[in-house]
Amino acid sequence: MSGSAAPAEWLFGMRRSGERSRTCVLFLGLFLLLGGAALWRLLAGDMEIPFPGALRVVLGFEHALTPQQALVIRAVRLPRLLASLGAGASLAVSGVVLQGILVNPLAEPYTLGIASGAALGASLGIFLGGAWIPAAAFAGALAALFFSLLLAWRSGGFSPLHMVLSGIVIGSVLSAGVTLLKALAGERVAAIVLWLMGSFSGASVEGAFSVAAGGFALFAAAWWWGRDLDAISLGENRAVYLGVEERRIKGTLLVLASLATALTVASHGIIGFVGLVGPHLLRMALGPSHRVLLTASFLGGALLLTVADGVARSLGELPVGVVTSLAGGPVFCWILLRGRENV
Amino acid sequence: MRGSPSVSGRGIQLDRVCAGYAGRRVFDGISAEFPSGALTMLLGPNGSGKSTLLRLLGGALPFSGNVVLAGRSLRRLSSGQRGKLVGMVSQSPSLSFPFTVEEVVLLGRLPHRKFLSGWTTEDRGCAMEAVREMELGEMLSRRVSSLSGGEKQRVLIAQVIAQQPEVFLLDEPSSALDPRYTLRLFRFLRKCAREGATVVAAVHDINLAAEYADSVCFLKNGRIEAFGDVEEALNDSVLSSVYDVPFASFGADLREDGRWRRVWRAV
Repeated sequence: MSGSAAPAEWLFGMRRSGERSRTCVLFLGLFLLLGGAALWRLLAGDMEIPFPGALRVVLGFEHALTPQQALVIRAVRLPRLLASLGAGASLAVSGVVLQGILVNPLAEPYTLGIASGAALGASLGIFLGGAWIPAAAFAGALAALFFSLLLAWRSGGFSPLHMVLSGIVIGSVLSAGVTLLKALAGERVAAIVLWLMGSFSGASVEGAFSVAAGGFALFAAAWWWGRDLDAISLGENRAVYLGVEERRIKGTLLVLASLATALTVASHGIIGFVGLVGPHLLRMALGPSHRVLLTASFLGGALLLTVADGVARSLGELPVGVVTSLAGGPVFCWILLRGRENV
Repeated sequence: MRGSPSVSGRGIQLDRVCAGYAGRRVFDGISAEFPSGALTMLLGPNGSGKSTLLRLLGGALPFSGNVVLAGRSLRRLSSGQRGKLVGMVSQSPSLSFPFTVEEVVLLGRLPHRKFLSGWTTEDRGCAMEAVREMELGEMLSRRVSSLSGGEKQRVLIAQVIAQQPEVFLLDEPSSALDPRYTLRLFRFLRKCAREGATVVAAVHDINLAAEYADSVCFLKNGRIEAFGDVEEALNDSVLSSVYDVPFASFGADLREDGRWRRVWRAV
């Protein structure tokens, strides 16, 4: 049967049967938890809404509930749910991709200065009058990526070390810029701080779809190049010697990851640790093979951020970025303390 | 040249090649020919350009001039074609992500993969053969991030064996290997050379070259100091001038092929 492979192998890569059943169980668990979390986010809130009715409204049957209840589902809870799902998936997939192409398990949108750039852009937008904030954040993210790439390139090449160091330098400078704007902002400082902490309240369906589209474009490209990404993540030019077009793939994925991050940050503010903790936990369970890891991270990131948003909401509308950082920080410490072998 | 005669045009030809890194030019118009069907060892002091030459031939370093691999211009090869033709064992692999040994060896089949398909029976067969060659059967499901330096080196060598290239490039492949695997590796490489492959390996151990090489190439400061059949090119005066330290050869030992060889030592 040369030339063909079992569908399960095509989907999950090279897995042994024991590993394959574990992978299946994990995916099943992710789907169930994701369904449960989505249901919780649709039903929990100040207004009591019955389960079957809520589901039917989501599916388009407007008259299953009172007009008021239908409005709450359609205009408030569903957009917010979609926004947290899309942003979580997008951030986690960006994390996996950046970790793979930089051969650095600690890389994520924040390590490269992309998020700081978006923050500076948005702060500048708010400072100058509050218009075009998403566009300003987007431009800031791309500018930050451009400058960290330029700095890495001029300082000796695109090695993981150079890239992360450049990202940290650019990120620090841009964060100082944000602090400066906060100091100068006067009464607008509250708007900047609130935006930086990140939130899903007031999300729109269109915004949620644009964020999810960015994440999905990155996911599709990275999945397509899954095996090449495996080779790239072996590091030290291994991929070049295995006949992979390393520069083109790295460049394309880097730009797509920046777009996905920029879209997320521009719409929902700074939400840390999702791109780091989700992929780490899943890599421990499933191994680093990218096709599986990307798929699991897409689902896992969506789950993580949806639950975090639910927690933030039930604690009295806390900023979701605070929840992810408070919960993600200790988990990340635990991962680091468990030792290098499982990173 | 001992062994099977070199097949004209199938080896590696360099013609006035210049290459280097930002701010440091290593090669300034180097020309050479590495024959196919032979195991050539690159020797020379640290920083003489051995690794740079191998990286260049592997396609990871830009250059000017002309390089022909197995009859085809390196510059005109696509990444995929180059992957099928050339295999490279680089120095000290980091392998920091926890892939299994099996996954890493199978990735050697990457240049041969068909559009979107999974690993074929043929791919798995090649990988298993490579695994047997480097005796990795016991550790197939171990995570490479937890292996020792020598074990990582064997996994990487197995990956390149699974790649089935026509040109083998190896940068100090035995630096982390124990004597048993060093012997296994060079016997395997010699067998590949006998079957027509072009094998170029950079080593520091002169006696390893004396024992296994068909020809040796001495590099110093980016220039070729001596190049030729091991029995002629490897002598006291060349070694002394390349390494700037007096060498003595003494004793005599029986080579695998039944011929006498000398043992070299810096004194």
